[in-house]
Amino acid sequence: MSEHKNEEWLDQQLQRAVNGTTPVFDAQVWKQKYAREFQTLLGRSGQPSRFGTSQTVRLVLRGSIGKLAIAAAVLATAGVLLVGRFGSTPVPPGSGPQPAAQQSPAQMVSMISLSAAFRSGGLEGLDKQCDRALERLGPRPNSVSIQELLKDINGKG
Amino acid sequence: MPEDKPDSVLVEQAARGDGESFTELCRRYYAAMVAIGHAIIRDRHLAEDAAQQAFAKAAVHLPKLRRADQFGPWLAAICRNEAKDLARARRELLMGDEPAVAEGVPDSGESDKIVREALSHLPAEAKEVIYLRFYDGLSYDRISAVLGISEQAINGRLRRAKKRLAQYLRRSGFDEVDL
Repeated sequence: MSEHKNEEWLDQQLQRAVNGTTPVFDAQVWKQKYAREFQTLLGRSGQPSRFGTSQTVRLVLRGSIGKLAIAAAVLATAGVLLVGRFGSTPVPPGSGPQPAAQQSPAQMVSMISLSAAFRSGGLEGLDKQCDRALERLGPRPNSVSIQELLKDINGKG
Repeated sequence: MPEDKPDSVLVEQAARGDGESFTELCRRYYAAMVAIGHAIIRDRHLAEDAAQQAFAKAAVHLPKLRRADQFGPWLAAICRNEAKDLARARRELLMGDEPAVAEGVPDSGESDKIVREALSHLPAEAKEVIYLRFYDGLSYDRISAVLGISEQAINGRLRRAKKRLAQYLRRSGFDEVDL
């Protein structure tokens, strides 16, 4: 007896042993039996879906456009760093640096914050400000500092 | 029409309180949930109760589900728990110590009896995939949605389960079973 035939025989045996009549879901009976639970579900009508945000984030991360957007954001951050290093944007009165704990990473690398950090601590202050921002963003390779990166970009020893 | 929409869209709509979407999901998953319940409980009616209770819990706890595409495996996990609770209440857990008897299936001879006994000796995971595949002729695609594994993995599980069954049947005198 061939293997195919044997498997076919076993499939037939399993169908006979397992298969019953096809179960059919009766929605009306279920709604009556579990009225409280169904009402709980209906009571959420009008609430926003919590799947939307996370799925959007996943789609952005999966898609090539999303990856390009992330790359663009990294480049923009690098641009901001360079402008902060060489720019001379005046600091508006009363807009001194906030404590790092109260700032978001985006605020921490804004022109104003970077400029203020550079004015108060020079290149080292700028480096520290960027480090704090990157720490809040999460893990990163710590072998290259922003200062070293800037030196590398500018070609200075 | 809810019938035309993919599962993930129905799950999102159900989570926003759309009853029609939820009942359509129940229709789609009912056979699979009864099969999962039946793999654990010996009684077809209890298996249906387990499936319906799983839907009731899902209706209440749907907002806790983080990913719409995980609805099937999440529902299956609820159903397994419900079936085990029901079986425990009836002292009928099928943990390999008693032969499974599919209700409504006529006893058409010694081979049926031995096959059912062989099924009862399978590990829970293998028994479940056999029930899902043979209970209502569920497609690999639907089984994949329920178990959250690839169709290739389902095929592997089925093959391993059948090999175990064949070994058991050979020991029981079916010398022609050679997978």
